[in-house]
Amino acid sequence: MPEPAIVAEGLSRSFGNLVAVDHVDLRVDAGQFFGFLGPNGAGKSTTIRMLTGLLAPTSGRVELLGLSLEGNATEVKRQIGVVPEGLALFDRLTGSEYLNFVGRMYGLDRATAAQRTEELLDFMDLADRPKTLVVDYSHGMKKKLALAAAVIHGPKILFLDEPFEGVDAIAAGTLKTMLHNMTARGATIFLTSHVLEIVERLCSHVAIIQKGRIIAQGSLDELREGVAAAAHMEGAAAPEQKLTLEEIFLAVVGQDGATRKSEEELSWLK
Amino acid sequence: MAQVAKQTGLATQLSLVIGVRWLIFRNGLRSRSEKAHLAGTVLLGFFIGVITLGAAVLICIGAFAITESGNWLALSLMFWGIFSLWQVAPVLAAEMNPGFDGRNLLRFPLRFSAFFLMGAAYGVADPFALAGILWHLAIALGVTIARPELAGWAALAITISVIMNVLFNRLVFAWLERFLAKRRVKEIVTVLFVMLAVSMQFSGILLQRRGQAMKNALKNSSGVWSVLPPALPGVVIEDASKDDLSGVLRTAGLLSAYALVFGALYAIRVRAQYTGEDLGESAAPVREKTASKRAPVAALAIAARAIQQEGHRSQIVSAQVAGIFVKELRYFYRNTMLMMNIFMPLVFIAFLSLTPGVPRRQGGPPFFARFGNDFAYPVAVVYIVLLMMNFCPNNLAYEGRGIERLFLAPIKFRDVMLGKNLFHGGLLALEALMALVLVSVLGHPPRPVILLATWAALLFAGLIHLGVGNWLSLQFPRRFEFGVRRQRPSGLTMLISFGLFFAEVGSVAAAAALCIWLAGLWLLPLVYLAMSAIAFVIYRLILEGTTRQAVAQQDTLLEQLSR
Repeated sequence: MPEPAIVAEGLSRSFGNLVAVDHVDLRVDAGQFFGFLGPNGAGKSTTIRMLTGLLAPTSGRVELLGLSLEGNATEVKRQIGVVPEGLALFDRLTGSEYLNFVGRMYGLDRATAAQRTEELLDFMDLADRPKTLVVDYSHGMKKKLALAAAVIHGPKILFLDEPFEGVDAIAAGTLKTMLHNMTARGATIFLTSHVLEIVERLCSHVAIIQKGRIIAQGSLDELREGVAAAAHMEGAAAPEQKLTLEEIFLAVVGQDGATRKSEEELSWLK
Repeated sequence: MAQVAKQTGLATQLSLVIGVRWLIFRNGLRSRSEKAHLAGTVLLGFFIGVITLGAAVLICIGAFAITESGNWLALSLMFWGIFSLWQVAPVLAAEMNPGFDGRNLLRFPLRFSAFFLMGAAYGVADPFALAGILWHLAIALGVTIARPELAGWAALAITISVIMNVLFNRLVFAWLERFLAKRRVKEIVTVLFVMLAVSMQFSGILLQRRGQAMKNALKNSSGVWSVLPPALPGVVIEDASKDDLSGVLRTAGLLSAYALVFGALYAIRVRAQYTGEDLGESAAPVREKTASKRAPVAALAIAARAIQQEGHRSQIVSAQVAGIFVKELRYFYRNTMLMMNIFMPLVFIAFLSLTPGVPRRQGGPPFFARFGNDFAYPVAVVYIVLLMMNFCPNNLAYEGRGIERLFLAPIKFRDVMLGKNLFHGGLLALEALMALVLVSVLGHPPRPVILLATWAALLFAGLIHLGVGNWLSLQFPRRFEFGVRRQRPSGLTMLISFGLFFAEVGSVAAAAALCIWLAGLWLLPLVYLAMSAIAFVIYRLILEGTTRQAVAQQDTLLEQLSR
């Protein structure tokens, strides 16, 4: 059995009376490209924030690369890279200055940080505006810079919260190749995205969260089998073609009601 | 196919916008802080209202007296005064940030006339505009009481004047907004306004020395300023008092023409906004830095490189601490408001050296005469410590969303704070050196024993401020925006900082008095060094605790700084 890279047990987080994440159990093996899906407000970002140490859980524990996050935060952080929801950029630095800064924060020596900065800026097509401050970057450029910052120290686990949102198709292609190469070399990637086609193409395993609880988890084939079995039990015919991730997702989160709603209501829009 | 709704009328659109503004205001009152803010505004409004009303009574009496005496030039000057307050005060008070951005409404099928009128109406709702309108009415009342037959003409004059003032005010704001769209320009203009406010302190000296000449110049140039728009309502009333109907019509026509021109120029801006102009924030030009232009910064940059190299070679400071130091330096020289702080103490020292009214002794400037040559430098350093407090007690203010990176990176907050403290300490030392040069040039250099004692006391005060500042920064963080004035740390932070400052000054002064009484000045540097050693222990204790404190405060820091 492969070593787990990410383990979460009974992870919960409440904000006042609202339970944002409710006893989440996760296991992501080393080298896996893992997709973490859910509707808006399901608790994806809160879970990522807890897994990366940005938010303390109300209860439960997180273990990354065999180390408990509690008590080993510095050592764990050294080995992970994160593109958080807010991107965590210093907007009054230039792209180059920011990457150098992040490199130094992760303990790279000056020469290595500078060399990797140059390579990453070139790779991300950000090298042609060396004196532009981050505050003046477009949204897509900021996203690419945040991605570059997340990988500058060569992390073993990469957490990506909506990494492709606002990134152009060419850059997205390049990034996907980079991420695939990383997993091929043994890195683990934990990805959230609303673009299910991307998740389907990249990820081997998926978990779906709804209202703070994990409602499905496994490889894509396992999820397909699960959905087909559920349909069979309800008396529906087995699908002729392989289910897409979107169909799995909609079946799991219970989209049928939503479809009926839009068909029956708002008749004045027709 | 669904039916599209019909276009709504101007009145409906205006009432809808007023309604939505009311809803925003009412919903805002759900939070306790907004309720407190409203209570404060009402209280402040009451006091300002009383002052405004008092001024209106004085203006009314003045207008009455002027009409009685026929000193019409004074009436025009009165209109000029109101115009100046109406136009300049809102610009200074609004801190270069226009309040209501009507462009949010452009997604709706809003008529241009509604958009234009809303912009203009916003100008009338300004407190300074309301005061200006009240004072216009006070003038009309004063004139009418003195000469009832002028009531109609006074009403006409002030009506056109109010319209002209409103349109000019909106015009100024609209063009300022366009001009200040670039971040760097905004920061520079803000600094110019601060400098202007500081230079007002010198106006007393100027009036004292050149008062008569200025009065004469004002009289001699009356031919020019009395035909400019602010003076014209006064001229209308003057012409009416002389039964010069053609003069009245000509002047009122000229004033109306001015109002039309201002309205047209304002409409050009509004039209540009209406058709989707997005000023946004454009890239500020970045020039190559030269050593001569940025001497203080260059000195810090050399220090930064040295620290980086040192950090790399001998591990005196870690790569992380060096990284934070360099980042602080970059943020410092890109933040005009922070940059200004380095010059402010020097400006104050120069200002004090020019203040009249202090008897000159020993032939030196008054500041030095007052404190004697021995104490000029220590007093200058006290000013520096006071103003440098802007950096210490809220030292994470400009991190923004970058604060997340500091929590994501494998770095202890002790190192973050150490990097920041090294930078701020370096700044303090640089400032103290620059003050020494200034004091030496303007007066005399201090004696060596005074110099040593001052530096030792500065070390003591600096360590205490940096240490307590670290604790306050993590405990009560407040986000600051670049290029925006009047940003203050939390009230508690301010209170503790000032308390600390006075405690430091008190203990330093008490130690000085005790040393001079018991042994002599020679003991002072040693006593201050001993105090600095104790301060260092306190600083170290607080610094080592910052990592734990940051973890405990993580949610607050992320919520306050990166929202």
